[in-house]
Amino acid sequence: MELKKIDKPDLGLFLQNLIKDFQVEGVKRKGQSVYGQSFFYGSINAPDELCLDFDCTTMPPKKYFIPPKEELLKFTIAPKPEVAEVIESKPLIIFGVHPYDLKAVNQMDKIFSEGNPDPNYLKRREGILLIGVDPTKVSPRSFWNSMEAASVSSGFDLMLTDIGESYLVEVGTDKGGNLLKKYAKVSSVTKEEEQKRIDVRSKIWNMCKKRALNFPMRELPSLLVNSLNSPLWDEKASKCLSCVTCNMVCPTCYCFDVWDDVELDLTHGQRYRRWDGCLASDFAKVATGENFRETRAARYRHRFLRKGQYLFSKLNDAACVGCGRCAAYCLPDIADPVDVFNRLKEAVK
Amino acid sequence: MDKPRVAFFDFASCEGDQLQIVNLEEDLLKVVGAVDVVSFREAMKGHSDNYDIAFVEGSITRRSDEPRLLEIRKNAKILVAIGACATIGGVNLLKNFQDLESVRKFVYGDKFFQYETYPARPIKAVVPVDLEIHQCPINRDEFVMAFKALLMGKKPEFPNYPVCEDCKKAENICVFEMGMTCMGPVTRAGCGACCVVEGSVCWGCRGFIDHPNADSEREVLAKYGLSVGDILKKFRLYTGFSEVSK
Amino acid sequence: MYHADPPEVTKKLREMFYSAHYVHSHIAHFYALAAPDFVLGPDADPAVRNILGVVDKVGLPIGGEVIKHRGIAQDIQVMIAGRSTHLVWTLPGGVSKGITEEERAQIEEKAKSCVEFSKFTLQLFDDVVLKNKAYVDLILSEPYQLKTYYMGLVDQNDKVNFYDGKIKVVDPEGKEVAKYTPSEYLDNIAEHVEPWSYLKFPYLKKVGWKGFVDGKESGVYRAAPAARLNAASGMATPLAQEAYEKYITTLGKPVHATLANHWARVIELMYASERLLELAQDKSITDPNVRILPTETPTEGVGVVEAPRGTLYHHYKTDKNGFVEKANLIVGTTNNHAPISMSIKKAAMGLIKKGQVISNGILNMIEMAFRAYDPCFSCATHSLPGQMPLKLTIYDIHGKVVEQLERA
Repeated sequence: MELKKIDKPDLGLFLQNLIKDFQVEGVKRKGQSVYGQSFFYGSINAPDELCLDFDCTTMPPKKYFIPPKEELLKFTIAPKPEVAEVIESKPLIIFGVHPYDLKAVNQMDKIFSEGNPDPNYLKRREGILLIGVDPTKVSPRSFWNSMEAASVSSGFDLMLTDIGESYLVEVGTDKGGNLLKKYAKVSSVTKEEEQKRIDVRSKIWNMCKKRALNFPMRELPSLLVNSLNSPLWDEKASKCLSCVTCNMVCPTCYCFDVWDDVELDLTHGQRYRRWDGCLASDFAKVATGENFRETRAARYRHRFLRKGQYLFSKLNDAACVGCGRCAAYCLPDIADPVDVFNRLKEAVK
Repeated sequence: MDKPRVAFFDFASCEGDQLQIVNLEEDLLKVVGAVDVVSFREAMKGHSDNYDIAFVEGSITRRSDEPRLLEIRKNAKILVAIGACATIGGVNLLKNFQDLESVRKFVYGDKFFQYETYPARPIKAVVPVDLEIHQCPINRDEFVMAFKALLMGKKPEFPNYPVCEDCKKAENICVFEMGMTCMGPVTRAGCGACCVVEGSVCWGCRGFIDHPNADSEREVLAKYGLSVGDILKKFRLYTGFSEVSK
Repeated sequence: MYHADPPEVTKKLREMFYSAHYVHSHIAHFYALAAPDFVLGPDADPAVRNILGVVDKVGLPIGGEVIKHRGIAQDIQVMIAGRSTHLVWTLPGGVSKGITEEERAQIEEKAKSCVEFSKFTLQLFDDVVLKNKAYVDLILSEPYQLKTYYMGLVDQNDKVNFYDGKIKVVDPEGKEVAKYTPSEYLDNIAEHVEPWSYLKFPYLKKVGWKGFVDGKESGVYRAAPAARLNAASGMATPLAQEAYEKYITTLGKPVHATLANHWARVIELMYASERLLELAQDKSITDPNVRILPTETPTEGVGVVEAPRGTLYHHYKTDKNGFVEKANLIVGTTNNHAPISMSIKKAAMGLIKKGQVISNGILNMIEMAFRAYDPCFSCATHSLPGQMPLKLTIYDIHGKVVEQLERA
């Protein structure tokens, strides 16, 4: 493991240099809510726009990997039918991604490259450099510590940790290493500083233990299989607005819907995809009109099974990273996985 | 292939939806070029009650409007309701929750009896409607989308999920988190959450999704401080015709 | 009603938005609804007497410019307020968002283009209408005259203003008879009702309702472009003022000719474009402090602007919780309801002579009296298929139907 140090006053310089050569996206402050500052990912045009002491962004960085609306094909119907694929990608750096969101990106990398590789995703992913950062604050609904998402060993090009006077930077890839060499003023790291990183991390990890699963995360698949008929699904889902907020803000929800749009002359058009969400009432509706998950309870249960059981068998890991966004933004407050999983566990004891 | 014959009609409305169509600018010429516009308002007698598609704007606010609408329904192969007044009744419904005599007295004074009125209602309350293009006023892109689908003989697909989806995609801070309240969680998306993007809240002008969880929305509104009366006002601003707003 | 005076920048932003609105509204009326009568002639075949016919005559590039500038003005509105129709950007105490320097610079460029296009439009009016004596005679001909009171919003310098100021009323001789603030409107305006229309007929309360007649004794007044130019003593921007002077020199003042509205409208298009540019060049317009938060319970308020089609009054009254309890609106076209009815009647009586065959041209010339007001329902008069539902019934002095014509 290669570890370097950037003094805090030099971070702005690093950023300034990157902005000259790259499109840099990072965490920005956006408006106050009654709960405090809100954070979103957006373009960084000056170093002081970047904010690294955020607790959690409202939306994960998934929009950079799968845009909310994306063109897939251009087609011509007349005079001669033709189809051309559209793959858009532009190189960019995402600055300031917490480990739980990096874990989600790692999962998406796997999902979009296995079986039926998705060229649009893969091409776009190729152009993205990720600069991670360890959290300094924990949002009230986070439980990433329970989901084995407090740290990641890969998926980042660089990983920053705030140790007070400076940031320690772990180099994850050669690309990341080259960025440091070319654009940053770095120095070497002492044994004490290395120890300090360990201390800082364990401190923040401990802060994320207030909300936690009461059982090992690895038990989720069996728990869910044994809870298919739990009355909890109906109880919670009765309040579900089917508003898909939980899907939209989730860093591991990647489902999409595909449709064709034709120009007014009806001779040519485009095929698009857009984010879809399994809580929407028409998500499992098919062309003949049948809906495979007609009730709110069926849709609600599906999401938890998906996160804790179906995808677990594919990823050998839960497809929930514990960011707590679904819990934080669910208006009737029914989406909190900690509450759902613990209550299910309670019931089967 | 013959061009489809298209007619436009309006009842109680501001004609804002037809204005949106005129405001298509560059696309307007293409839209008009793809069809034969055969009728505007009453210009159909003995001349053009032969049309395939009727676009109808406005809500029905008088019994005497009904025969005209029935005639349009009879003549049209496809009847499309455009805009909130036509699809859900819109703000014209506000008078339904007041005494119709005092409403007319307020406007016309002692001559109020000269003016016929009855509880306002959307088009579908009087005749079957084949297609509804929502919003107040309609969204130009959505109109063009539906129009193209009609040209292709397809039924257009409209979103059946709440405004929250559009709103999250637009990366807004939830208005409930900013001390305001919103009809977005039960309102049909497709507007890009434009009102929230512009710094306001969703008022519900696109009507409810197919199966709104109105009870949950009411609970949420109450949780964020609205009284029962205020909640009722929220539900009645645009969507007062729906059973769940009663 | 909220007891909150918005910051200066907000007023500028609102006026800027509103100026853009005037630009596309006046362009639409002039090119789509007025120009066909003059470019193609009042008695041209209705099938070509529409915007497509105008484009055909003046050339496709000009048609493109018309659409382009309507688009530009709407783009400006979208840039400022998110959308152009039914916006939710205006809030009590201000607006929901300001504009950035980048947006300001873009609006400035677009506004410059609008000023150029307004110059072109004035020139077109000059070439097509004013250089044709028959048209000037038509404008000044008796069937299209109505001697009424005139109403319009004026600024501190007595110039035409669309957004703010006092409402001024002049009598048929051009003498000022009232100048009042919005909250005094009920002392000055009353509304007459007729069983045959849901739309009411406002009139000057102090003069009184004397029926559908003109003259100094009748409270009937007119609003909209020509009325605004009659009420004020000029325009607040240089090119519009220049055009105004030519207008007054040619037609006199006050102008009683209904068809002069078209000319006045083009002068106002110039003013709106120039004002748009002035505001876009005001660097202080990017000030981000665009709202003060009202803290008092709202009570009652009256707001007035000049809508393209006439003076627009909004009056709201709330209950003790601040919820709107009563609302009264007098919208642009409503002001002109009585004069529109009178103008149609006068044109019909003046143009239809005994024993004369009623041609399509005559029908259209009656319609022109109506169209000059740019009434909200005018969209129907030159719809793209070129038809307006028009029914003309000619009665003799005993009330017997002599002839009935219907154009479908």
